[in-house]
Amino acid sequence: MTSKSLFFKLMREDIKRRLWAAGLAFLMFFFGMPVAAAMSISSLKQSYERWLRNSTDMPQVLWERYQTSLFELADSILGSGNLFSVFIVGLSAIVLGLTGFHFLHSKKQVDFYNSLPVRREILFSVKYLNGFLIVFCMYLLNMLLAAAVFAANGVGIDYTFGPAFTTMIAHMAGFLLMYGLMTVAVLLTGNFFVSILGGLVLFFYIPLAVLLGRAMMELFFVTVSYKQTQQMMTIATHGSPGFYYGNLMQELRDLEHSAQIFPRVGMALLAALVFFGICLLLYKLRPSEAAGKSIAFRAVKFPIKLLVVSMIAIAMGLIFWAAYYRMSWAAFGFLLGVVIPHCLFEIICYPDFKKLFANLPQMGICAVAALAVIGIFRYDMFGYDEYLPGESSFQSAAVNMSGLRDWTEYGMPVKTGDKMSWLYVSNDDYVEENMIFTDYSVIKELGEAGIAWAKEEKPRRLHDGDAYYADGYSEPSEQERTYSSHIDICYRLKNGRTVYRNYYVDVNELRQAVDRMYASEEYKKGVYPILSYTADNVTGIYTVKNSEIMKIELNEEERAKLLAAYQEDLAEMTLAGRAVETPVMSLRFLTIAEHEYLRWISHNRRSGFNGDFELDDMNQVNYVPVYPSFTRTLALLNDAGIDAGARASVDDIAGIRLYHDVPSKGYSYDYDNHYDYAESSYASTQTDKDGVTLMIENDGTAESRKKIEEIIAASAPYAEANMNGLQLLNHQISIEVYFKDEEAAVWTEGSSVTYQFTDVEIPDFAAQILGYDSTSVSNRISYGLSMQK
Amino acid sequence: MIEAINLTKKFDDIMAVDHINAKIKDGFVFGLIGTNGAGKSTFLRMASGVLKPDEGSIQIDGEDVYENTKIKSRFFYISDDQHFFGNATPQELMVFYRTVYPGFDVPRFYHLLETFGLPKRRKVSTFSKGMKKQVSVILGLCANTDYIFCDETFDGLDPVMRQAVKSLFANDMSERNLTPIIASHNLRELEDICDHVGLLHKGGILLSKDLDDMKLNIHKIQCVLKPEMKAEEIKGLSTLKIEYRGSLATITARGSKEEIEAAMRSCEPLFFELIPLSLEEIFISETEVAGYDIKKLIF
Repeated sequence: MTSKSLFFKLMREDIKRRLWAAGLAFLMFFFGMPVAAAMSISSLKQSYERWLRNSTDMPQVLWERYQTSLFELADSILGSGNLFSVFIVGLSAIVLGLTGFHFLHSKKQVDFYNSLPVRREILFSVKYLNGFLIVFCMYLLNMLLAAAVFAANGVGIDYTFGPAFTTMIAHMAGFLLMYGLMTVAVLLTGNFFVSILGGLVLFFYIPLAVLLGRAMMELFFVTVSYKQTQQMMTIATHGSPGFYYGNLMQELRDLEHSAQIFPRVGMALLAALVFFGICLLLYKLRPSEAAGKSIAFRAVKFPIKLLVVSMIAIAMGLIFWAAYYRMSWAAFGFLLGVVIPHCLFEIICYPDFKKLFANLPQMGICAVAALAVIGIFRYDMFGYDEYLPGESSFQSAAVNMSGLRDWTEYGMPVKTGDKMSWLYVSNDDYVEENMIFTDYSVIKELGEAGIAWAKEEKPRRLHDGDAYYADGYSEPSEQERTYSSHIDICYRLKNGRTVYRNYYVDVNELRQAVDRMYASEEYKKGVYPILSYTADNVTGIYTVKNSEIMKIELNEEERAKLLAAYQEDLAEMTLAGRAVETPVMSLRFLTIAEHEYLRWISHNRRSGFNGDFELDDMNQVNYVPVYPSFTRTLALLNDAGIDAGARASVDDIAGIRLYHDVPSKGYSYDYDNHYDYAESSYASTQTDKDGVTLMIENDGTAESRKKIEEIIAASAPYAEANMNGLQLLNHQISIEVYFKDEEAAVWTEGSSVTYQFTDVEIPDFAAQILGYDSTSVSNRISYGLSMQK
Repeated sequence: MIEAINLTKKFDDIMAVDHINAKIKDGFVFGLIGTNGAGKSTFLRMASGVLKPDEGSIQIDGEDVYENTKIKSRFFYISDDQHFFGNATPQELMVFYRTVYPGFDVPRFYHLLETFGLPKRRKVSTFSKGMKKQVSVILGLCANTDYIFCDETFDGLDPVMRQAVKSLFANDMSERNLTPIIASHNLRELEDICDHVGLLHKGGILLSKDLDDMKLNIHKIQCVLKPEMKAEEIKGLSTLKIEYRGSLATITARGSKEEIEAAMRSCEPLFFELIPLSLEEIFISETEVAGYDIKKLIF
C-alpha cells in the first residue's frame, strides 16, 4: 500500500473517531452564522415593516436604509465583525488541540498506536490535519449556508464572497496558531490537567514576561522611552497566538481593503508552520513511556520550572513592593513567589505531597536566577541608563522635545469604505519616521545631559524609594523651576539597530545645543509637517483670529507664494524668537485629503448639506502659528487684506472680565480697598471665597477705553498664546474679552475670546483691584525660555 | 528470527530490562515468563516498537524494530490491556486493521467471529474481558503477520477458549509458520504450548532454553528405598533435590532417562517410578541450580 493511500485511509478512519468534534463544531458555527443571519434578517424585516407603518411618506429612503442595514448585517456575520465566530474558532483550537493528541496520555492507546506499522510522521500528520479540517469544513459549510441565506434576501454572493473568504482565511490562520501551540502543550505533557496548565504557560508566558520586563524597566531605569514601552506592549499583545488572532480580526475590521490583511495572515501561517514543525519533532521524539507522566520530556522539566518559578518570584516581589513600598514586603513576596510555585510544580510533577520539597537545590537555582535578573535591573548591569552611542556607530537620530513642537498635532484623514475618520499619529511616531538628524555633537550633548540627569534621578528613586513612591509627589527642586523638558531620542545606529531613550533636561542649560538643533532643517522638517507641504496639495488657506475662521481669498499662485513664505519664515525661526514672541494668528493650509474629509463630516453631520464644508468643522484639522517675526508671511497676508499683526481694536470691544482666583496659600487681600472702582460707572468688582472678578465695560469714556487698551496690550488671545509654550505665560489671571454684539442685551452676553497675560507684571490698576502680587505667583507662571524667576 | 542484543530499558531509576540477550526462533512458540514487574511487558513493548531501547537493540531478521514500519508490519501486538476505539464494533475494528495490515484476512475474521460466537456489530466496549481478548486474538491472527506478541493474553480466557486459541496458534504455525511470543506469569498456561521459554526476573533473563531439552535432561523419581538406605547414597545420580514423605522419597535429578533408571536399579529400591516434571518444577530446579530461590521469585 502506498503511503499516500494509507494517509487518506487513516484520515478517514480518524475522522470516524472524531465525529463528535465535527458535530459540535458544526452546531456552533450553524448557530453562529446561518441561524444568526436568518434571525437578524428576520428582525431587520420586522423593523423595516414598522418603519413603513410609521413613515409612509418616504418609502424609498426607508428601503435604502433597509438595504444598507442588510448589507451591514452581511458584513458583520460573514466578516470579521462576527465575534461569536472568533470565540468558536478559538475554543475549537483549544479543544481540538487538547483532544487530538490526548491519546498520548494513555499507555493503552500509546501501545496501540505505536505498535502499528505506520510511521509516526504519518500518524501525527493525519491527526493534526484532521483537527484543522474539522474546523475548516464546518466553517466553510456554514459560511456558505449563511451566504445563501443572505443571497435569498438580496445580498448577492458577489458582495459577500470577498470579505467572507478573507475572513475565513484569517480565522483559519488564527486557528492554526492556537491549535499548534495547544498541541505543543499536549505533546510536552503527559496528562490532561497538566496539558491545560502547560497551555496556559505557553499562551501567556511571553506576554506576562514582557509586561514584567516593562515593569522592571520602569521601576529600575529612568530613561525608558514611551516608544520602547509601546514596542513592548506590542510584543505583549501579539506574543500569544490568542492575542495575535484577536488583533488580526480587529485589524481586519479596521482595514479599508480586507486583502491588506494578507501579510499579517501570512506571518500567522508561517508561525503556524513552525508550530507544526515543532509538534512533529516533539511527536517523533516523545517517548512512549511518557504517557501519564506530568512532563513528557525530562530535559525540559527544569528549564520550564526555572522560567515559571523565576518569573513568578520576580512578579510577586514587585507586587508586594508596589503594595507597601518596603523592602521587607518585597522580600516576603519574593520568597512566596519562589517557594509556592516551586512546591506546586513538584506536586504536579510527581504527584505526591511528600515531594513538596523535593529538589531543593533546584528551588535555590530558581531563586538565584530570579535574584540575578532583579540584580541586573537594579544595578543596571548593562548600562541601560548610561547608553549613548559612539560617533563611529551613530548614523542619525530623531529628537522629540515636547516644548518645541507644542502646537503641532500629527495625523491625517483616512478612508475606510464609505467612511472617513481622522487618524491621529503620535508625535513619537511622526518624529521617528520623519526626522533624520545627523549632528552628533548636539545629540551627544543632549544625551550626556540626559545621562547626568538619570544619574541624579536614579538614587532618588532607589535609595529613597520608600518615600519617593509612598508620597507620590515631591516638591519641585530649584532646578525644576527652570525650563525643563522631556526629550525622546531615537538613536539610529549604522548596524541598523534603533535605540530609544527618554530624558528630562534643563533646556536653558543646553540652550546652545538646542538652538543649533532648532535652527537645523533636519530637525524642523522632522517635527513640522507643514514644511513638507507642496503647493499642488494645498486647496485653500484659512486663518483664525480671535476664534474667527476666515478663508483667505487667494488664487493658486498666491497660495503657493504664501505657503513658501510661511515655510521660509518657519525654517528661519529661532529659539530666541520663540522665547519672546506671541503668535499673532494661526493659519490652516488645507490639503486635498483634509478638504475631502471636511466635506465628508459636514455632509454627514448636516443631512442635506449641499455646500463645500462648514468652516466650523475646521477645528478637526491643524493650525500653524504666525509669529510677529514672520515678515514674509505677514506681508503676503497684508497684501491679501488681512491685518494679521494688529491687536484687537478697543472700538470692537464691549468689555473685559478679569478673574483672579485666589491661590490656596499665600496672598490675602482686602477688597474694601477697591471700593472706589466698584462705584465707578464702567467698572465693578465682585468677590467670593475663591477669587476676585473685575468687570470693565467699554462705555465710550476715555478712562474705560484706556483700561481696556492696557489689558489688551499686555495680553494675547489664549489660543494663539498657547501655541508657543516657550514664551512666558501668566496663568494666574484669566481674561475674557467681550466683543460688541448688537444682539446681546447686555455686553457680557456677547461673544467673547479668552486672553492671557504674557508677562509676570500686569497693569497696575488691575493688579491693585484684583489683589495680584507678582512676587508670589511663580508657581502659576510658565516661564518658558524667558529665564525670568 | 527475533534477537535481543544487550537490550536495556530504564524507567527513571528503575531498570525494567537489564542487558538481555535472547534469540527467538521462527516457527516456535516462545514463552516469556516471570513475576510481575520482571520486565516481560517492557520486553514485548520494545519488541513491538512501542518503546525505544535505552541500550542495545531488538531486531527481527537483523533489522531494528523501532520506527521500522516494514518490520512492524510483520507482527501484531496484543497488549495486556488492548485498546479498542470507543464505541467501535468488531467489524469497525477489522476495517481499521485492514487499513494498516494489507494482508488482513477478512473472510477468516468473520468466520472466527462466528466460531467464537462474537457478534460483529456489537460495541466492543460492552464485551466481557474474555470476549475482548478473543477479539484481540482474532484480529491478531487475521492480520496474517509472521509474529504475534501476546502480553498476558490467556489471562481471562476460559479453559475452553484457551484451548481454542492454542489450537488456532498451532494451526497457523503449521500452515504459515506463525511465531507466537507469549508473555505470562502463569507457567501452567504456557506449559502445553511453548517450545522455548525465557525466564525474566528483575529485568534480567535467568535462562532461555528449549522446553524439551529441559524436560529430557531433568527427571523426578518417586521411590521407596531399602530400609537402611538414604537417597543421598544412590551412586551415579546427579541429584538436585530430595524430599521425604515417610519412606517415600522424591528425588529430582539431572540426566537422561536411561542414566537415571540405571542408577536407580543399581541401588535395588523396593519401588521407583519416573514422573514427568511440570514447567514450574523444571524452573524451580533449574533456577535453584543457578542460585536463585525461585520459590520466592515465582510463587
